[in-house]
Amino acid sequence: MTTTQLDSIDSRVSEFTDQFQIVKEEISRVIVGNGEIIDGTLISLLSKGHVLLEGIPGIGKTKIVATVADVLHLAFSRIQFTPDLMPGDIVGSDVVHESDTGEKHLAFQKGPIFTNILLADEINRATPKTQSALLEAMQERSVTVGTTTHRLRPPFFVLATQNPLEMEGTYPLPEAQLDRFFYKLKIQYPEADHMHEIMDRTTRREEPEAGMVLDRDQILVMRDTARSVPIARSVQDYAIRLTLATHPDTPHAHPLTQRYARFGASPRGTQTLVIGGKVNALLNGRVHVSCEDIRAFMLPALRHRVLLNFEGEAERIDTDMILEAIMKDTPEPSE
Amino acid sequence: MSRATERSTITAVLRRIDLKVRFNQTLHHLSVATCLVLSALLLIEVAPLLVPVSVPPETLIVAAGSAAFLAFLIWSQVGGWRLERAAGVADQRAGLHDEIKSAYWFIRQDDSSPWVDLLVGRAAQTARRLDPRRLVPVTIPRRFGLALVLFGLLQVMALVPSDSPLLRFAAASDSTRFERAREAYADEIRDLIDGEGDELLDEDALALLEAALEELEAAETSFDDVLRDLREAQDELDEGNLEMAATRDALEELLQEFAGSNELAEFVDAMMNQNLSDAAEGLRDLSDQLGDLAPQDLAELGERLQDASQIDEPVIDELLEALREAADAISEDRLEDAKEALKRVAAALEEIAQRQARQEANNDASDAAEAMQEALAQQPGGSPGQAQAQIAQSQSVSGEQSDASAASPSSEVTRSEGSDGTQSGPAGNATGDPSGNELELGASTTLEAQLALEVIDGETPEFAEEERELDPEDLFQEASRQQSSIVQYSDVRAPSQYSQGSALNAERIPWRYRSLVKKYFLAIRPDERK
Repeated sequence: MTTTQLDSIDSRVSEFTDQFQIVKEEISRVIVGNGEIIDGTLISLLSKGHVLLEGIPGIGKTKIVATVADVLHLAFSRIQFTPDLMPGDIVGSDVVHESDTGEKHLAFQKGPIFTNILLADEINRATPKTQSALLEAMQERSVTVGTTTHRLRPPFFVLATQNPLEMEGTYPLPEAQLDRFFYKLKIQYPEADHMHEIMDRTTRREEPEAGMVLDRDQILVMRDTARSVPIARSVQDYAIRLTLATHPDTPHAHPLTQRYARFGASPRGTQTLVIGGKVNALLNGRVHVSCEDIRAFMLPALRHRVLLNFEGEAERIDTDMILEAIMKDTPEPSE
Repeated sequence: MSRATERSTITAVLRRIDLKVRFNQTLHHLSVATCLVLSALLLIEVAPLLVPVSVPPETLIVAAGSAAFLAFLIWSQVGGWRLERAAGVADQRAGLHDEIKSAYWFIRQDDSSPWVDLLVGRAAQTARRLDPRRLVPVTIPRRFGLALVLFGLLQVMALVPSDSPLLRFAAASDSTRFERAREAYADEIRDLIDGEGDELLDEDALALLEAALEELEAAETSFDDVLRDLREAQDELDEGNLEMAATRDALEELLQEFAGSNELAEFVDAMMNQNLSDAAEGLRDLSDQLGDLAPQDLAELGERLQDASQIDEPVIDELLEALREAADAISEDRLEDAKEALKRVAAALEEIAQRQARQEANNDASDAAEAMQEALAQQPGGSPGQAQAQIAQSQSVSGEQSDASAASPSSEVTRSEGSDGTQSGPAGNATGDPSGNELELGASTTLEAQLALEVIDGETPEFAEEERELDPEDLFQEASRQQSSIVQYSDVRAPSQYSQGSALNAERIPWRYRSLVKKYFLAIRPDERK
């Protein structure tokens, strides 16, 4: 291996870190606080994942997504999910098209899903039928209408929001769809000093705006860089053990899992831990994944993948509590 | 820097770290082994102070501990380098976020890619900066402090004087202590012989005690031999109790014959106070005053003496004979002969008093001998297993009594008497079984418990099956429960006689229970005069 190649990789790592920092700073010009949410969103983007944002109304879910879209030089669409939204409204449909010669033929009219960044606002207000229209797009990066499959142009990044309070007239996302979200990020109330900052920024004549700092090609390179980070078997084993601890019916199950969980995280959850760990390692200037990287985003990676049983639901157990216990009780590999 | 150099750099650093880790581990294991050995040494020093146990020699403990530690050390070093562990230690101690561990894993995989090479290169640079001595410093385990404390305690134990009262129980742990115990018991037996007085103790028992003393003084004798002599001496000392109980009963019967007599009032009072010497003196006074009595009183006295001389008590034959002669002399108006006869009665009484005093002394000596037997049986240096087995053997009845608990040296009620030197036949339930269980001939009984149950009124269970046709053994038990016999003695005598004989011959009845046992059998005895 030549020194040039190593220097090239070294510079890619530096670029990755720098560009991530630039994007984050640009978003922070608009969004106050929520550093973890921004990190999680960007890591999902760079890991080819999608993000589900959950929070009560008015704390900036849509604003965060819109700002992320603003700083990235990418096509952006927004779909407001409502009960009467149809799958065709998302993916598009064949419509009769008349040519200049008067000849009529069916032509595919692309829906808003044909974009790079898709904001699925209040996704749980749409019916399951419509929600599932996103399934193929999110996983396969393609949309099939009739007999024709249309590829989505990378990067394709879905940012969905949902409101946990209003249960009337909502349709909880099915487990299969939840599993397709890379991270589930919970937005909390801002703290007092952050509230001051929000007031200062949003109650003036001119609100701050974020500029575009990252284009599509740069994002694709960053994605490639992130996946190249090597991971040792022992660290990978640690990620697997963390995942297995969420499986209630296995010998590796944590006691809390055995008691409160119905289903644990799928292998996709382990993939999330590993890929997210790789990005986190790069953000810390490392070219290897550590156990700390695996743990860093374990909560958003697995919290929507662990399904509570009746007892867990009845006792209002938070999956974060189970995952924190698993993190605490699963030892790091000593060798 | 070449790839091979980077990898060798990492490996070299990991080897140095592994050596440091192994050294610290060895120190840790050494501290544990030292604490264990010192604890064991302290235990063998302290344990004999608390309980009479024999302990292995200290050198054996040290040798065994050292051998075990060396074996463990060799075993723990088998398997060569453990560089994965060293990598984990380096990452953890230096906060390297699994860098060395990841790099070493890829080195072992011989994986080559630009990213892996970059990782290994960075890890090599990091490894070069690591100082294994600072990373894994030599750590003296805190257990060595504990070992120091244990060592100090051992030194303190060595300063405790060997003749300290604390070491009394330690007498059995080695030959010196064994000899000390031997001397102590010899002194006790010497005191027993000298203290009670040669003139009081039974001659045979005295001879046996002296034999036991000689054996104790002989260096080659074991405690078991002394134990046997003491047991025989105790049997000899207890031998007179049965006769003394019978004598007491005879005197009580005699006393009833004299009750109400004005002439014999002084004698009766002294007898009631069990003061035989005063009673003898009263009889002598009576003999002196015999000539002063009115003829009518003299005649009445003669009749009473005549009646009293008729009682059937062989144990006081001499006394009764003298009484009979006195009665005859009074009736024949031979006052001088009557006086002489009464003085012979007084002399017989004094002799009985002397026998009683001697027996009391024998009993005291018997108690002392029994206590010494129990102490000897507990002596580990005197082969307690043999002693216990010997006691158990003496207590077993024709091999049928094998319960180890009944072989306890403190269990007086189950000891065999063996006065005639034979242990014949199985012991039976001589006193009935209040539980209503079928009487099992040949089974040994706990006579003390049986007797205690029978003297508690109203605590015997209801006999529900009265209508059932009872066999002679059941009839005997039922009679025992009701405190009165409902069947002729002859009907139950045959089946019970064997058991009685066995119980009396095979079981050793403590002397203090013997009068109770005798009264029991006397109570159920048929009146032969009728």
